[in-house]
Amino acid sequence: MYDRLDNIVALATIPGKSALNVIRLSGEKSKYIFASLTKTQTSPQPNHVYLKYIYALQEKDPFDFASLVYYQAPKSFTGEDSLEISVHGGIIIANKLIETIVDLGARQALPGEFSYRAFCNNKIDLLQAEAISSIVEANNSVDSYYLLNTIKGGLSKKLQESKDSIENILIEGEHEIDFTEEEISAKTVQKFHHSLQKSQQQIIDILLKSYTVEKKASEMRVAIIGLPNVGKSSLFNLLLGKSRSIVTSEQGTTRDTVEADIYIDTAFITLIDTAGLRKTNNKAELLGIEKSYQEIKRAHILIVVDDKNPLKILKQLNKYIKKKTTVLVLNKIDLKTTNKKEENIFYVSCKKNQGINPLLTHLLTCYKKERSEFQSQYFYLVNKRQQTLLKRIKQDLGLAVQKYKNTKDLSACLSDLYLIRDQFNSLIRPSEKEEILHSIFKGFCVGK
Amino acid sequence: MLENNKPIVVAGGGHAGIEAALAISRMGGSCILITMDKKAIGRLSCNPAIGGLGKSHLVKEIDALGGTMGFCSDFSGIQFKTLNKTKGRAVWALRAQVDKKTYPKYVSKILKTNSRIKIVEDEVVAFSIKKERIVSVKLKKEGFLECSAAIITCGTFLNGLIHIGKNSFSAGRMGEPPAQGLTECLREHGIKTGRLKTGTPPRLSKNSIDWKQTEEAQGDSTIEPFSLFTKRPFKKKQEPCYTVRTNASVHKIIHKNIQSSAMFSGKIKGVGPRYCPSIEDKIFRFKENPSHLLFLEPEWSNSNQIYLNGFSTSLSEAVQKQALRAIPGLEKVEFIRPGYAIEYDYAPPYQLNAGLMSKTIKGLFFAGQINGTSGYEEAAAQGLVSGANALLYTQKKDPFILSRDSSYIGVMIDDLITTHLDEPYRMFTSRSEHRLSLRPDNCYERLADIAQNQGLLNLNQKKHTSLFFKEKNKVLNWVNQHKITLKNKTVLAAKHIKRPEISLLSIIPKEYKKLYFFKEAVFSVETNIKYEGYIVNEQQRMASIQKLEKARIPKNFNYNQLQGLSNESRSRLNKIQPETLGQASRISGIRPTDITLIGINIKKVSRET
Ligand SMILES: Cc1cc2nc3c(=O)[nH]c(=O)nc-3n(C[C@H](O)[C@H](O)[C@H](O)COP(=O)(O)OP(=O)(O)OC[C@H]3O[C@@H](n4cnc5c(N)ncnc54)[C@H](O)[C@@H]3O)c2cc1C
Ligand SMILES: Nc1nc2c(ncn2[C@@H]2O[C@H](COP(=O)(O)OP(=O)(O)O)[C@@H](O)[C@H]2O)c(=O)[nH]1
Ligand SMILES: [Mg+2]
Repeated sequence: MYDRLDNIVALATIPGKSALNVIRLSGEKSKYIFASLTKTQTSPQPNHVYLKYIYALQEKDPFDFASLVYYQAPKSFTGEDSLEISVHGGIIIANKLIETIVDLGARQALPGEFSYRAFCNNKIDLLQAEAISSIVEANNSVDSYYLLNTIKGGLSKKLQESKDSIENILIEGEHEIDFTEEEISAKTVQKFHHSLQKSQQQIIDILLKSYTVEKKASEMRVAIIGLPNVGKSSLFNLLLGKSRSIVTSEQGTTRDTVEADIYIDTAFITLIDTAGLRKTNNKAELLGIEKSYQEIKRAHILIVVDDKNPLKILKQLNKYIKKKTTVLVLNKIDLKTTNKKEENIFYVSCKKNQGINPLLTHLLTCYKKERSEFQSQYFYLVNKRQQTLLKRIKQDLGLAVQKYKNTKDLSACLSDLYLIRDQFNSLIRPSEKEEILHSIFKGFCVGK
Repeated sequence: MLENNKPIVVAGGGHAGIEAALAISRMGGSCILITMDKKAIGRLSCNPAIGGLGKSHLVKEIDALGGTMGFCSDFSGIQFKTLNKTKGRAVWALRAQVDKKTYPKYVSKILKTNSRIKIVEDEVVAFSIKKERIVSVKLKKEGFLECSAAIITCGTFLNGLIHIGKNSFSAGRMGEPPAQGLTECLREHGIKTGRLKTGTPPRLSKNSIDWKQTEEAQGDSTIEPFSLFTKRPFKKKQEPCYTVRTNASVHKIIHKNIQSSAMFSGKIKGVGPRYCPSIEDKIFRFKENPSHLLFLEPEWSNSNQIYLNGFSTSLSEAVQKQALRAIPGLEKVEFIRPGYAIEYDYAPPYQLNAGLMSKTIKGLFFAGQINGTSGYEEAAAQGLVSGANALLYTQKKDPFILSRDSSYIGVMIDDLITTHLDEPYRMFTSRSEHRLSLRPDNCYERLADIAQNQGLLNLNQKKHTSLFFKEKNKVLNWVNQHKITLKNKTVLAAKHIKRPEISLLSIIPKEYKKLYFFKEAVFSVETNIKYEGYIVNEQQRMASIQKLEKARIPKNFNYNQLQGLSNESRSRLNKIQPETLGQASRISGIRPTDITLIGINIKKVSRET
């Protein structure tokens, strides 16, 4: 059980060999502790950086030269008076500072306790807290981009909007039930139904644009597709060889899909080689082809390879590809004699290693375009809790819409909507009992 | 029979006082009902109607608890209409227009023929207490009267002040004097009081209206009674009422003369209800609305006095008349009585416990308008609860408390004692978080046991209640045993009715029509089945709240010594002094973390003592 009255202190950086360590303190005694540590009488200005010697209790000589920032409630991370102190690296100084602060009346913070206080003081909601907890684990710029967006309140705002739309239906519905003596008109019923569908669509959109732990946001999948023997695997290997570094390489059977993570410049891409698409009776091959179709669905960018006419192949596959970004490649130009070139087709020879560089440049452009769409539209649901709740909201709202359509029972529909509103609350800012909150925050690390 | 042989006093013969006195008598006690005017017992101060949105749920629950309001409305009704029929059966609301002469006459007869109730015409002006208990009331004419408990149900009478335009004068309501002295006595004893206001529209002379230009509004073609104890089949001769609409000229006249309104000139200090706005309110607040619907309702059968529903006002009489005469059909309208507003004292109900007894003065109960509510039904429901509790108090028994998940009455009382009122309180179905479980059709299921256990039902009521359950079970058995053959399969009737387009009425065999409560039984069984999924959801929610409701906070619990509470939470908790954690959790601004904190500490306290 966290006690919210205590002054809490913790090391905010990871213990180990580092140039600096940051120690964080939150509580009413911040000012007093600042004064005692630095042996100054004047109280610190908020948000100023002070470069000062710091002293342990009863010691004449300072043990470090530190930079200190005092934040005044409520304008701090926790919403309370706080101090952030950067000291020189190494665990000795950090520990000494923490011990001194404990001697001055604070105690060591428990995991997640800073975030918990920020949550209790309405500085952040739970989505933000969870993103803060996850950002330390983000291992690529894309994840951290989304997490930062959530920390800044992007996801909360989006969810708040759809919660608001539910609340508007509730308000209008209650008005209809409690204040309108006349019977409900067909037009009004239609209006309710329409608003419900709109809210439903909002949630569906958020989910569509959300990435989850399994479905990593960092992933940009580029699949090479086409008929057998046109040179897909050759191209795959060539791109791997050209790429700056190979992260992993996973080998399946020749009839399975093969994928590898590569960097093209700074772009992090998962490249997939698929089995050739054609009719077959061979069971194993069928399976491979099935997988190829799945990959077409899943990938973000498709490279369509052919040794005769990639455009024709693209047209044949159109109903699977839909609106995805495609790159057309005509391979084996070393065997061709004509020089006729069409726009939007990349002419290459894997065998002779020709035409690969323009293809790579183009891939990079496609990547950036996709990514920017990503960044403006996508959310990262960092844990099971967020994913499950949002999916449940979608499901329950779908049911509610269906039921209202069938029964036209407004009072029953509102009952569904109240439950859905509660689910939104548990997602964004649960008013749960303290124990439940604790179990959520306990998973955070110390100093967060 | 009374514990110390001193009577229970009920002060006031309005809707609250009536149900209080009758509840005491049904439970085997007796009381003295003191009221200022014997002839005004049960008078309907405002509109000639009982029930309506939200309120009909209360009337049904009063009925299930043996109260008289529904039964008397059935008896004196002249038009019956179910509102909200297209919005889901949980919110269907029966509204009965009643004959304003018959209703009070009938109620008075019931009281007067009750040997356990003694009616005294007098006025309670003060009371005295000993060791924090009420021991006597002081009557204006008769002087001190010793009592074991007293229920204050003074309605709009305490320092009542009527406003018509610029004129104002003291009155309890039109034609009746105010009650003076009691407010001051309450304050002397540390009870806080405040000021509220309400208004009523003019009464028109029937002969001055050109009826051809109005539109007729009929009651329902098939009608249901409120009460389970009203004889079936329920047949009534119904009378129509009529409607007219305001128009731009009406609005202009009111606009121009707004300074003549007591409410707008700032003369009235009491706060009025937002949801029952005066016509001047409607015109100023809903500017975009070019026209408002007005109902012309006969106040009694063949009455020459027409109640103008929707035109509550405190404009001067001349302006009221001038504005109305701009409405087609009312060009030559004459008033029997102008509309008026009334200001009165009330005692903020956070000072009461869930049994409606003062937290500081034992044996002193409050019910009705004096608790800041508005409406006959709200008053009657509180009256019933306060009556039962006054008797239980004198018998040193546990109080009779209705929980939020049992009834709208429970919701209302809990709201009253935990929230800060800033306008008169009236019932809305949206005030309940369990609306699909608290339906009019299942009020007997919800409340019959409680009513029986408290002795709130008389012999006849017991008989009818158990007959209803017996018949309902018959229908239920059929539904759970009978299979319906569809095109390619058979399904249980209970399952079949779940489909929205299937009604139980259309599939149940004819022989069930002989049941006395056929309609009610079929409807109730069917609704339970159709709402099953929702009810399960609501019950889960209820269960999670239950724990908090059961956790009692000791009296005089010291919030000041609780570290970690914000100052704001502390001052609210100190003011309201909730009795349970559940109540505390509903005080606005109190956070779940506060509740946990209090929870841990009350456990500590109870371990220490
Ligand atoms: C002008 C007006 C407009 C209203 N408008 C609306 C409206 O728009 N909507 C709505 O829902 N409700 C309205 N009402 C309210 C409705 O009439 C009341 O809510 C309801 O009657 C309250 O019931 P009650 O039992 O508390 O008090 P009342 O019905 O007012 O009865 C009070 C009784 O107590 C008696 N009494 C008072 N003081 C004493 C005393 N000291 N000693 C002995 N007896 C005493 C009186 O003689 C009277 O019999 C209005 C009332 C008035 C007067
Ligand atoms: N002449 C020529 N042959 C190629 C070229 N690329 C691939 N091949 C050959 O085409 C055959 C099929 O190649 P592979 O990459 O396995 O095709 P996949 O079935 O589409 O994966 C192999 O024999 C390759 O050597 C090319 O650019 N020119
Ligand atoms: Mg291959």
